[in-house]
Amino acid sequence: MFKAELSNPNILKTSFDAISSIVDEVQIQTDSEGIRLDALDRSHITFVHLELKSSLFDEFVCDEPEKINIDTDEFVKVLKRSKSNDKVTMSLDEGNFIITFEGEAKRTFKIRLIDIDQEPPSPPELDHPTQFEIPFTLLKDSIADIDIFSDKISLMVDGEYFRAGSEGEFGDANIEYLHGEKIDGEAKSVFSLEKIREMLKADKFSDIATISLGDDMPLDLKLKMVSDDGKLSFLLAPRIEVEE
Amino acid sequence: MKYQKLVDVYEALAATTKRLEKTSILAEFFKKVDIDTLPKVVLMALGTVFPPWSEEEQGIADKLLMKAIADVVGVSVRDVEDQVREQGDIGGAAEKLYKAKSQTTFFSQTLDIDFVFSTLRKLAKISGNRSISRKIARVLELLSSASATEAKYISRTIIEELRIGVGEGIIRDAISQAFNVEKSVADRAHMLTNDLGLVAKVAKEEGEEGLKKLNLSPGKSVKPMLAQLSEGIGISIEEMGEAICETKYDGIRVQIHKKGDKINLFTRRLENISKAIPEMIDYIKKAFPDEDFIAEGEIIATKNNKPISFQYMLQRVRRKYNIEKAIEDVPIRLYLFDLLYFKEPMIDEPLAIRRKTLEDIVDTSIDQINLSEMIKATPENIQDAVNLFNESIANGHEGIMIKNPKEPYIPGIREKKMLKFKAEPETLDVVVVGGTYGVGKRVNFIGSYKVALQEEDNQLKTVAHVATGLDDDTLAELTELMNKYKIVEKGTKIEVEPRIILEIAYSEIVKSPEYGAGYSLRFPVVKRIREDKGLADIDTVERLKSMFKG
Repeated sequence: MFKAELSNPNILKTSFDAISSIVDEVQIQTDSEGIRLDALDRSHITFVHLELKSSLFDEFVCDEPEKINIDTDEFVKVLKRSKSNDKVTMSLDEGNFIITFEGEAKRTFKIRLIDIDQEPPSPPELDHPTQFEIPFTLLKDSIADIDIFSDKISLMVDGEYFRAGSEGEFGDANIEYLHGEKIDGEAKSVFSLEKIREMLKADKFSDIATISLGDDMPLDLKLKMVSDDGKLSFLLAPRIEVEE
Repeated sequence: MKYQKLVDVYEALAATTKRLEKTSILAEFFKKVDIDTLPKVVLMALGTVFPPWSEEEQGIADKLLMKAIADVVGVSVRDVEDQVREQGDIGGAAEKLYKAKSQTTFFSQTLDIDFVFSTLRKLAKISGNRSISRKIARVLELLSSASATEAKYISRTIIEELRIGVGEGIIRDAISQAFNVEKSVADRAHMLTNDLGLVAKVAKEEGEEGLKKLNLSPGKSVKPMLAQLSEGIGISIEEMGEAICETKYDGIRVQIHKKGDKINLFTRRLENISKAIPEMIDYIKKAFPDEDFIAEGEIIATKNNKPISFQYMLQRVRRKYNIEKAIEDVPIRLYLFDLLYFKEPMIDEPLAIRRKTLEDIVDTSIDQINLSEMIKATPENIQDAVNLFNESIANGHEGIMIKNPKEPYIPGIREKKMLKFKAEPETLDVVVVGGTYGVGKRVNFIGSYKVALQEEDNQLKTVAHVATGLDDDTLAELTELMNKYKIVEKGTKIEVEPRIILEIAYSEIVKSPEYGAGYSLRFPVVKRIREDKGLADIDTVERLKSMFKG
């Protein structure tokens, strides 16, 4: 049997806000250590990975590993109905993923399990030359700044600064942030702004974002809970301009 | 088999304008394809994934497709639009943009024909809220693994316009060449089953013998037999010796299929309209015996028992909501004129027998179910036919049909065995390919429409700009349709996918180097929007030439 109980729905809500905008269907895997999911969006541009350890939950039971295949949109619609201090319980029966909210009243939702035609390919092993931390809100603001002029964003890092920038037909925008970490060399890659925006919907997961960059390499963005009980991370394939 | 193989065939087909070459390229390919993939490939060579009688459609708007291409390639939607303008179609734009694709992916798979086919078919099955983003997700799945040329043809298959100059005729000839069967046998099998995929499969597995066994079956629509123009009532009856003359009703021609308990109504474009006119299904159930059958008739809209404009009938057929109210507001009537199947195929029987059987089995005591007004004419009583014509016109109908009673029903052909004689001057069915926003009162509407005819194998040739004959409602409706099918907009001019069919009248055909057809029309006037007709039904440049008396 599988049963997982959380004192409030917030971490699930914020995670699946992002996940549902990236993938339409996911397979959640559970075992005695917790729950996790790996998914690749249909255009094969974004990998998403979520890990919630059993220690995060007020109660966590999982006798044998389960695979829960669901439509992410249905799950988000249910989560949206929760109140911020509702107790949340997830469980399974034959063919349903069961979510219960307990607050003023006990409300139960059953989401039908679906067939998923293929297993997600596993994310590539990448060795990025740089890694640094920046405030999540700064990243989110940068996206809004860049959005004025462009639909793509270049992310750069050197020994002192993290820079986000864009050049558009009607103007440019540049953001500089003194990161204060020890970084050797420089790295720069260009990404789809919309794809980053999708990831950043998980704005309640962590105040800090850990970023790894390389030259024309995927963006590795990790969000970690302070307690170390949960992790939400993304890999985004870069845009590489072809010389014509 | 890899999708790229099919794409190579598309490219080879697009590279030649010679019909025989196209036929050979396809025939060679059909021979190589395995039996399960063959029917799919046949449909895909026609630029679709659904057989003609199917109600399903992929339902991806051009705008969504452009967004998907933008995402996969790594450019803005505006860049895609610019490229569409330059290349002339979304497929061409996709190919061009793919060559400078900047967005990388983590994973790519080789597309095979079955996967592309089944993914495109799945699009039709996706419904409900968020169906658009789900459909897009499927399209992205295809496009992200596609090469430049694959992306070109996936896009074109989604908008169902391949631009390779292949129509049903070439496919049928290719089947006949690939599997060594007589063209006429393949043709007949096609007309009866309306399913070239099936024809190809049977031709490969069972040859001519198998094809001969194919017959029409209730539930699957058949290509209707078409009428030619009569040069005059007298001349036509003299020529036939004897004739069945019937009122030509101004409604929509329907095929009624009953199989078991299920009754379906198809238009001449083979669209299933049963849901829009449920009351007619009930009347038919009452009027016919409980046997499988296929009958043909014309449904017209009435008011106080008098026929009213064809447009009302179209509104009925198009209706998806509030059908109850429409049933009350626009009563309809059925006028039956032919019987193609009754317990068994009847198309090889002469018309006289088919009509007699129809009369024997149908109960016309219900007001809404009628037999077409008919007389038997011979050169001795031509006046009776003329009287029927005058009476028909006086009652608000279109004219009369003159049919040879000894002839079988031959699906899909237009021959002298069935003629029509109308009061109004002949009109042309054309397709809209572009338009221009109007001035003054019409500034928010497309005021002028660029229209085209078809040449052999679906090449479109422009023939006129038409700007008159439109009332405000029609103008608004057309403008809305134009925006729906818009490919590019530049200033006040827009180009659209060839989807909107207009019936136009004119005073004279003139030679004109300004239009692709080489001819143009003087004083063209829009008579009506023909939603009951499709691109394949529009008139040909050939016909225009034959009508030109310069």
